[in-house]
Amino acid sequence: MFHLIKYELRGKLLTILGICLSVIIGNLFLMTKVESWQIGVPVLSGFLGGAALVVIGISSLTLMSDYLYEDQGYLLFTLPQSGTSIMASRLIAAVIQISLVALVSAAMFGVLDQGRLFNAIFNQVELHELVYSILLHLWTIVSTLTFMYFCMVVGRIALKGKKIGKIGSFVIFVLLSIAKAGLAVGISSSFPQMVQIHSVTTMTMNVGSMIFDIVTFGILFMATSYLLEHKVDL
Amino acid sequence: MYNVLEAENVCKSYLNKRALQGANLTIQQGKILGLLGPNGSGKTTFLKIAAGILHPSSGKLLIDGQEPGVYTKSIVSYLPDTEYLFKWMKIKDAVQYFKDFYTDFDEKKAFALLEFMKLDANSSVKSLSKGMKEKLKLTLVLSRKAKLYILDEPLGGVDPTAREKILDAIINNFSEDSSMIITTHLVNDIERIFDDVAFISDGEIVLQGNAEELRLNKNKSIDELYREVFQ
Amino acid sequence: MEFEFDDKMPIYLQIMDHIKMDIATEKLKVNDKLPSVREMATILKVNPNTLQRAYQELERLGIVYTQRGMGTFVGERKHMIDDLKQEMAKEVIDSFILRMKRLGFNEEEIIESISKNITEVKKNV
Repeated sequence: MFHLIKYELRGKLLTILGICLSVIIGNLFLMTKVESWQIGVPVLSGFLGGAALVVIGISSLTLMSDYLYEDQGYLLFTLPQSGTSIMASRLIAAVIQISLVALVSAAMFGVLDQGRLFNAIFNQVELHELVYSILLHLWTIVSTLTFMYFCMVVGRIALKGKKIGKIGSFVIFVLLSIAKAGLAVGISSSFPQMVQIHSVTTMTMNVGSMIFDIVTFGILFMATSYLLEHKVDL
Repeated sequence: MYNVLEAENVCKSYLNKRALQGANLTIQQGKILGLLGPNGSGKTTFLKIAAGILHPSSGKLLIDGQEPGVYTKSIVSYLPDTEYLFKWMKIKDAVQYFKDFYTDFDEKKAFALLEFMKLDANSSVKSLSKGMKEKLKLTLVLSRKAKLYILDEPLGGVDPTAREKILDAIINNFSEDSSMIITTHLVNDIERIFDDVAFISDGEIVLQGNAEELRLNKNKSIDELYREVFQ
Repeated sequence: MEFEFDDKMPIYLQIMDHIKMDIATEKLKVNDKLPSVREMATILKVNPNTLQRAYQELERLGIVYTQRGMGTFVGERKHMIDDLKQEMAKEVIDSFILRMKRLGFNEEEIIESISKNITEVKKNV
């Protein structure tokens, strides 16, 4: 599986470098405007980081779609690798590349802002809270991607043809999102128990919907792995 | 004799057409089988099922006694009819890729074959001509010590000189404890390397047998037989 | 070693004939080593199994012998060259006679046409 991740990241090397360089150059340009634009500069830097994350996010989706729709699928799906390791390697590679871009964006923001915002955060927030929120973000990335990969794979299996498959995946995504959101709302209202995670800033989570998220992730991960290994026809 | 591949009544149908309708085929250890048929006859469909990237609608296909899956992929070396290597790769990256993923890959053999094929390990995959790409794919596939080699149109779209090289490489690197299945519609160029041949038409195996016996019994070359079957 | 195959006939028989011919014409002599199966397969672009079969058949006929790990050699059977010549001559003559008969020649006419033609061939050679 290590090799699978290695080759995914190698394949995306130019994309990752390109995005990071754009973020760095963009921020350097913004730094020259600190005097004249003042408060607009950190805001713009934030936007830049957001845009970079969107681009790398889309690129993470191609970690799956390229193999479902392009000739490279013949390379990946003839390897003696289980569906689970193919699925897991995609998620890990995606997390790594998204984290890299996020780190670079945050670092550039920090430099531009001369560390003011980060200082403020560190002063108010304790270390374990920071760790929680980072883990929470990673979890969001992983569960969202799993959900999207699942929709892609189902679309690919159910509908032949590139265009119709991709559109189908999107329709499945929308429908399942609505269903999932509806279920989550239902569950959190029937099980109103909450846990408090943060000590200073109040951040509470509904136990029911947390369990629901974890279970959904588990099912979708296993289902996608199974479909990749046993059902995808190239 | 031990059968490396056994296909029993393998069917594959899509919404609007049936690509395979009950294909029966066996390949013995140490034999080279030619799967012959025109475009659209179901050759590639059959090979993709054996390679584990297509799943039969019904029927059974076993490789070394197992259904296509992780294990069979580790003993099958498949040459697809597509340009499946990553565009960013140099030839040496492609060699490394195979070495990383296949424990039966012989790196020394790969470099010897690259030399034989006159391919430079430092050239990038993107820049190669069609014939060179075919030679590179064949190098990678033959450098594995697999139980079953599956070659889909290894001579398709390459010039006669490249064809000779490819044929030589196949003959030189074939060992009697492995088996091979080769599809082609250029029967004349390659018929002398087949032990057995199977003719496939509209998703069915219509004629199958030992190549020498077919020549003796029908007093025809396999190529002539092919033309007769498919006109 | 190069020759054109006639793909209508079993390849192994053609290879056997070719080797027999080389022995009969003494291109290959007693105890000469034949190329290995793989070498020969590559040169002729033929399946190694087919060559294996040709060599095995020749061995069965006592025309060649195999020494383990050493290779395949031309045998020392008595009168082998003469036998092979006779055998091959018989094949040529049989098929000639058959074809002449198909053309409607009777036995006397066949002999007559041979003796007539043989002098002409002599002049030309």
